[in-house]
Amino acid sequence: MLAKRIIPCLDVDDGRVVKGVQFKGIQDAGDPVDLARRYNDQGADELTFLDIGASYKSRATLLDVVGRVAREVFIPLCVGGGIRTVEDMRDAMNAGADKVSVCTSALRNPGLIAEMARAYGSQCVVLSVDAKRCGADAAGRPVWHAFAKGGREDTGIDAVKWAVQAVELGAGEILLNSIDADGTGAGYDLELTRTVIEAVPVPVIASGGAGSLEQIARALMPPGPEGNSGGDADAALVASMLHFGRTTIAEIKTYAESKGVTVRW
Amino acid sequence: MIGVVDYGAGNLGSVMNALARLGIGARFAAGPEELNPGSSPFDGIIFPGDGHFATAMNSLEQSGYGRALTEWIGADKPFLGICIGLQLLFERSEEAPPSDGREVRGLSVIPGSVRRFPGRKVPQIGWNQTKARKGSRLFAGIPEDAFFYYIHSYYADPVSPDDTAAEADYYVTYCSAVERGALAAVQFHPEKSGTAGLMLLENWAGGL
Repeated sequence: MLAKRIIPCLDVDDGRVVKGVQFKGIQDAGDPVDLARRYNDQGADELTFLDIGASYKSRATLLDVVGRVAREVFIPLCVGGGIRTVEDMRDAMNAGADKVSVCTSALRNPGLIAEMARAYGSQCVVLSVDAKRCGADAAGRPVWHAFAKGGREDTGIDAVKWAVQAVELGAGEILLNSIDADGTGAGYDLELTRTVIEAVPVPVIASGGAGSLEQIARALMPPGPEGNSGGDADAALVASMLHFGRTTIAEIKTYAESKGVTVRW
Repeated sequence: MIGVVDYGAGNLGSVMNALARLGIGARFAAGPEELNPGSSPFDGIIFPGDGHFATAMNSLEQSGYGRALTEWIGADKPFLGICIGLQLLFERSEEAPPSDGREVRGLSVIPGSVRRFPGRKVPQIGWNQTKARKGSRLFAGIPEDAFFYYIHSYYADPVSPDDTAAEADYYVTYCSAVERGALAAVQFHPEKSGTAGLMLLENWAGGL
């Protein structure tokens, strides 16, 4: 059985892990290499590093961190934040990343996804979608827009259609962040997760809103008969709950397993 | 000393990092001439990487590595293929269907084909349980049904079940490792598979 993945996300700003609420109100959460080591020891299935610093120096610092982590942690590493060109991707891959995630740069230039997939293969290209609820369609179903620039800019693009288009261009995985839920601890936006999973034939990582073990397990569980219990995601991204020591990867996995989710030990 | 073949694709640094962590001496091979079975400086060859079957085969043919690898394996010298390094051992792949009547031939060391997963969610990305054959040298001491990290759209389908060293399930039960004499290859990425992956690399290198 393929296991559902638990992926700690490290938002890194100038060499420190930070964590905000709904993309604002940043708090320091520690040293990225120390945290990466700790999560690996706890059984993390993968690690995601996002450079949220604006400067060139911040990115160079992050790539140095990734290189140090890659020498001692032998699980997949994903790097995102400010990757705008295939050359940026190459720098990240050479530093030790196994894949990169793109968000704003792909919204500006969708052809970048195809270029990256040609250079390294789809399995190395993760499309990060920052989605926010923006009203409803004629049938009353919610509509999500894809946001750019770390959740600050509404592109007006339908987030679900964008995910479909990106996969057609060559994205091999979708990292799906709910801006509404991010950092609130109120639970993942499972309706969003299920809608995207039904729309794309690639793995979807649910992100944003984890506040309890129950919510993480629910994101990974299949939908119930009434169609609204589990999120059916292939992986769950977790940040605050881990960084601030409220839980461990092993606790998350033990709980998810008790709910019938296949996890890796 | 282990020689790692760099044919210009994939993240080979992670293989080097893993070998360094295990204290196993390794360097990139300087060229196909270093794979001459009689005069090679290497005790074993690792052929890692991702990539498209046709692109990889073209690159191997142009660089001369294709022939060198076939001779190395033909002489029953220690070999470990990873990911595309497993698929290229076979005769053909659905990833590179014949065009204009011309077939893209793999190294054809193992009889069989490489097929696309018959399901919706492809590639398979993630940790999958891997059931090793009893008595496998590669998997010695590794817990039964251990998880390894996979990322691939195509899987190997050997003609002879004897070539299969381990199996995994994704839409089908498929061959995820082969072992035959000094020849070994795995579909997953041991260098990204945590403790189980490091143990497998150590098992392989320890037998040299």
